Amino acid sequence: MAERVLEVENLSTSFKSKKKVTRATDGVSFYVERGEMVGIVGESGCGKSVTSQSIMRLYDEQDEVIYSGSVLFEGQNLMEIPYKDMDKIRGNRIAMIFQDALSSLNPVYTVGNQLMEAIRIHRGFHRKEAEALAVEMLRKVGIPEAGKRMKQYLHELSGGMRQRVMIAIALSCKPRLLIADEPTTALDVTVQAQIMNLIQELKQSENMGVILITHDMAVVAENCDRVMVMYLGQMVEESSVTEIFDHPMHPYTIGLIRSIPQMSTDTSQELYMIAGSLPLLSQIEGGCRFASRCPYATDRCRAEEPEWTEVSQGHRVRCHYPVAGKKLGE
Amino acid sequence: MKKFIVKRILSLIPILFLVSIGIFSLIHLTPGDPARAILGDLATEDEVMALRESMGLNDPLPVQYFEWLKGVFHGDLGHSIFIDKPMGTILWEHLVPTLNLTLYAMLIAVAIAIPLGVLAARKKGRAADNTVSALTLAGISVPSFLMGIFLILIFAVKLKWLPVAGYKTVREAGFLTHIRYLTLPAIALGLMQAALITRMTKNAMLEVLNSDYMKMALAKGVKQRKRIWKHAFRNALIPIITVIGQSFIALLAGATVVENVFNIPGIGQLVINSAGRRDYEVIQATILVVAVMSVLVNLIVDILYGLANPRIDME
Amino acid sequence: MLHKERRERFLNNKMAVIGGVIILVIVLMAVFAPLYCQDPLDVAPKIRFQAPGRQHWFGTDKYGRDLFARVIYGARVSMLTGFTVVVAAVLIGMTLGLLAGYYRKLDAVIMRICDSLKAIPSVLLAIALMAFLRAGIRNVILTLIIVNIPDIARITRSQTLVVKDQLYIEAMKAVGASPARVILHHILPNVISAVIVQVSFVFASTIITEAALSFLGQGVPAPSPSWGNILYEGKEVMHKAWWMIVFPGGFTALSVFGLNLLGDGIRDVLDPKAK
Repeated sequence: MAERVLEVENLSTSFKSKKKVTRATDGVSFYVERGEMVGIVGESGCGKSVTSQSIMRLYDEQDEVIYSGSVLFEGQNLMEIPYKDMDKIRGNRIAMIFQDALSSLNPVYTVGNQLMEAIRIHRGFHRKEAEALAVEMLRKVGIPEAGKRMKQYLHELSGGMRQRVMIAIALSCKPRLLIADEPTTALDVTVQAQIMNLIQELKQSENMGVILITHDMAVVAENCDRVMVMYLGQMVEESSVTEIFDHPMHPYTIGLIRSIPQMSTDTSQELYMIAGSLPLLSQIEGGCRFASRCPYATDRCRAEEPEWTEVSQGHRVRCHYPVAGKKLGE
Repeated sequence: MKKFIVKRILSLIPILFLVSIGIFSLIHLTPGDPARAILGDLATEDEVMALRESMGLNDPLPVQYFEWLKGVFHGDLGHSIFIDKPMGTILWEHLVPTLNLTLYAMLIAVAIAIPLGVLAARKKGRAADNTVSALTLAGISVPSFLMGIFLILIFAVKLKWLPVAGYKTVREAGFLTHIRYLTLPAIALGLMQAALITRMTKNAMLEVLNSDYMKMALAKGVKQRKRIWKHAFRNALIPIITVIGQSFIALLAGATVVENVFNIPGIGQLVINSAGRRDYEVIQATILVVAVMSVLVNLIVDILYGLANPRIDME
Repeated sequence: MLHKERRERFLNNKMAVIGGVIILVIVLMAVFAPLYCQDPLDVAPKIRFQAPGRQHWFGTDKYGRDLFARVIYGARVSMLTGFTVVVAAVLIGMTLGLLAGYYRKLDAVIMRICDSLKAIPSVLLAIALMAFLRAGIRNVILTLIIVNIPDIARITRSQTLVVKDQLYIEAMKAVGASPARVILHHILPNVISAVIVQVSFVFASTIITEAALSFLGQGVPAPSPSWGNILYEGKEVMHKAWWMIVFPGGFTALSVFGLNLLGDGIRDVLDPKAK
């Protein structure tokens, strides 16, 4: 068994506002091995971004946030170390890339400046060394004329180029874990494939763990080793990618898989959509959180919350009737 | 960049043309005969006629205007009927105290406003933010001349820390005394602009702090202090530059009022004294100089704005 | 429905309500001054510079005049000036702004004139105008109207430009609605709230400028009381008669404070995004 880079145990994140405490995620547990890509899938608002940003404790300064559970990163519980020490981990041993590079990079600094910043912070390089490494990183992520790009600003680059710059920044300090939050959503289809290939390649060459956050099951199918599906702040299914596409258990997972547009000649086939819309967490009164949208929901589903159970080796699901779901998938 | 500046300068021509017409026309706002108004009721009809002739008031209006404008272009801004010096010298002598006061007030305003605005944005909704909001509200509610009077009452009359009024040049009394005399007026003048710049800084920072690139900077491991100043403030600076430019003009104008509270011999006192003795050409010349200065400040602000914002293509 | 919602939002904004109450109280005090004040011009040399007391709440000035009456009558000047200036400047400024925004040919002319008026800082422009006109409240009002027109015209124009490009305005024009109809019935209602947001702030700056002008001897001439000229008299004697500056100064600051609170509240209600 490969070494586990990250082990998240029962992680919950809540936000405190003036009047109330909102629980955004609830008891999330998973792990990532070296050289492995784990997908976290779900609709927006399901808690996938909250989970990944909690791992890096990105909320601590701006919001009143309460975490519970543990995040073991290379044997260190990130929820217990002094907050200041996170500066040494972020961007260095855990790196993150975001969906929209245009808004995620600083418009008033050059590409080189932003790339060298992380290198100089974490590696203690001098200007010259940092510059050399920065140019090398730009080449590595497939940016031609790297020397010229260093002096350019964000608005002078194309969308795919910007995303590559962000990846170069993230990987410049050789992180053990990369969190990619919808890294291709804002891009054209052809560019999407290029960027995903790049991430795949770098994952192999650097032997790092990758968490890929997406709402797109097709991207998961092509890239991930294992996948976890989240719904309304909870994990509802977890398994290897081959297993989940062969034997999906949770009705929500099945819905997501069926929502993938098929390349078929049959134009009469309509695109599948999961019925209903995402309810607010506050509207759920006990029972299964997916019950309001589930075609198989029974009275039991509405009254009693299903347990997180392992149905086969490495395949866990939160559903009272996983078999019913399986039938739906066929 | 060059093109941008040239274009911007060309756009000033019609404005300055209209301003000059406006300032020229001021003299004709006076009820009755300006020459009579200047000389008073005791002057004889002949004296009035002579003055009319020398002021060129008997020519048709367009001729008068172009004569005046020709003078302005040759550096002839008119003559004072009370101060026996060339107009340029008069203006320069009075402009120096005003500019010293304005710059000092600007320094105070910015030194107060930027840290407070950044603090309020970082602590939004908490005690520090609420305190800053209350202070800025108080700041914009007390006009500078009133603030000046209050400050004199407290710090000069009651506590006797600083002089009540007056002006000492660096040459006659040294730099420290010069500053001592200018401190109360500069605070009086600077506080309202400090409040306005604080508000603006806070809003600009709030917008920036919530942006994705701040989250990215955090995820990169940049330390908080550097995130606030290098990443956030540098972006917030773009709108702040414009406000500081406007503040400079507001301070220059406000200085003319505050000078009269503190008895500082600047252009404000010059205008008010000239108004009292109907020395109209001095007023016109002063207003023209201030208008040109404010137009130039706006030009500089626009250029700085472009320099601070790489997204603006200045070509 | 919408109005009710707005009213509730305004009333929920405590600061705005406080501001409104402050202004209302000052206005009422000013309006009914003759009913309860002594004569502000009544000279009594025997009681010069009396400290505040039961007979004279705010004390007396160098002619023994009742300072309370003078300050309240000063409020009449400030409120009257502020109100008249706001109404006139809004009417004229909005008209110019609508015309500039609607007719491209007028735009350049009107906006260049506004730009050149803005080139001279408003306090200085007011001082200059007053220096050439005769001191007096009528000319003060006239001057302050001129000073405030450009900003209102500019705001109205930019709003008009936004609204004008919207599809339904194009449609109105296409079906042959007259320009007057389009401007008054379709553009004006969309533009007006941006102007209303400014009203309180224009009022406040008018009070400040009027006080400054009178303080400089370029506004309301003695012996008529105004906050500015009382402050001018007070400044000379502040070492022995603090009440001469504390009361008129306090009223000036309080009314500007109230108007700023009110303005912030109105802006939050009408234009919640802007800050």
